[in-house]
Amino acid sequence: MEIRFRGFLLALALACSTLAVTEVAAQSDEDADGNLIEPQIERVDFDESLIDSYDIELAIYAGLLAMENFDTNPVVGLKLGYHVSEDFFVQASFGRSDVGETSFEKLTGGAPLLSDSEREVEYYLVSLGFNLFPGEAFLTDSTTFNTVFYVSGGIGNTRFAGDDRYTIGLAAGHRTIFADGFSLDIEMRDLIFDMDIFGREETTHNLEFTVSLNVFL
Amino acid sequence: MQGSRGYILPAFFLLLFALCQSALAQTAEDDESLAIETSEQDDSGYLVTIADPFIELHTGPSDGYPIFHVVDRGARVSIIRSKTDWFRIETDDGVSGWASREQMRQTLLPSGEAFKLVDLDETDFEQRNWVFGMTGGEFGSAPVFTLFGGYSFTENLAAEIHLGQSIGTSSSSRMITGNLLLQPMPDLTWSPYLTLGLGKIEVKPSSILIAPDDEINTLVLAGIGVQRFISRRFMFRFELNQYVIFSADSTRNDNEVVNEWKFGFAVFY
Repeated sequence: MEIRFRGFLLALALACSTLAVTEVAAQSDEDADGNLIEPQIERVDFDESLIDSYDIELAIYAGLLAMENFDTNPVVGLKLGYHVSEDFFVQASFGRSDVGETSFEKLTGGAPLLSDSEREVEYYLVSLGFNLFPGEAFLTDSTTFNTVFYVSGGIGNTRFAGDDRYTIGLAAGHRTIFADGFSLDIEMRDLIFDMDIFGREETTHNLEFTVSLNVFL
Repeated sequence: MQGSRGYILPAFFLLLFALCQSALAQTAEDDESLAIETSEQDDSGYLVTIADPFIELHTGPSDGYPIFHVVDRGARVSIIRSKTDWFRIETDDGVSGWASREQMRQTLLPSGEAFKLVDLDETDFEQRNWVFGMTGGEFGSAPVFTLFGGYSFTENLAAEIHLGQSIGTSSSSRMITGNLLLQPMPDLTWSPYLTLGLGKIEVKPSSILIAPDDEINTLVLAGIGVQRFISRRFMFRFELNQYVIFSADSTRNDNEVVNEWKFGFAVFY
């Protein structure tokens, strides 16, 4: 009886071990399969589209806008850019500012030329840019940042003194690239548009100096 | 006593097998994680093997930045990110720099397959679905600026929405149109197309003029144009349109006809 019982236990143990071995074998097969096949599928699926690309640029900027005949005032804005190649980029920018009084208004103290809402300036531009001179800035012996001097030109609209004004924007800027995903630009831009609020139509050059923080996505 | 020994032996076997099993399973798990680790690194980029005799690493993503390092054939590097036609790669030694697309074209994946670069060509352009772009030109005698977006149903037929702003000396206008584009020969490099559209125009007289309030009128347009693939996701377009702006007052017959030319570019997907 005892022997039979032991035999039964042994048989049970064997059965269990066989099961266990089979299970181990099965599992290791699965693992082996997993090892062989699963990453291979990923390898096959892997292509350029999986790599993070940093071609899109988002920026906020602030600076000064010197409106011809008016004061120089703070300006703030947003930019959205797309880098087409190492040389070219396209960029949309939107900015706003408020102008002060003309010298005439200040001197005479008479009736203001423009209402408060007419003193608001809003503009948008779509520009094509060119990275002209790539370079490097050496901060310390071991810290170097890439830089680039770029130029851009674009068209758009400026809403000022109650009217839309077709605008040409020409800019030159210097970009310091602190990391692949972050840069700081210093830009000078000429917003050229016609103005007729002083009785006759004249082309005005409105210079804007801005600093922008850019992130790349 | 004998009986208890009798229990111990099978119990020992059971325990042994259980241990073996868990140990084996553990080993298998280790193998698996090791295999995944070597075939693909999720955190630090994707591993490829250099197949060119050597590739040059630049300090920045442009030919203008200097070459500071060379990686030989057979070396394994991980691709971290890309910017335009450049890839930031890192070697096993931790040297990181930018390699050009042309040189990366030859690299191999761990499986030995070639690393696939997504090179868009004219076929992709012909099979585009979405288009977003801008144009500039003249509407009548006033400069016009337009943003547009569209969807191609087939290679020959697309629907687009155009938002335009035209800024003249005596008035400025905004318009929105829905256009149908018919492109009979999509495989030509300079592919011509016909446009038919319907929309609204809002005319705002200049503030220095004593003029009536803003007017919103209906318009229809017909035009011809030509577009071509430039590179990557970019296309160029030039078009000539004729608009008929219907008078708001239906009792008068003074519909206005305005001609427009414009050119611009767009990205396609």
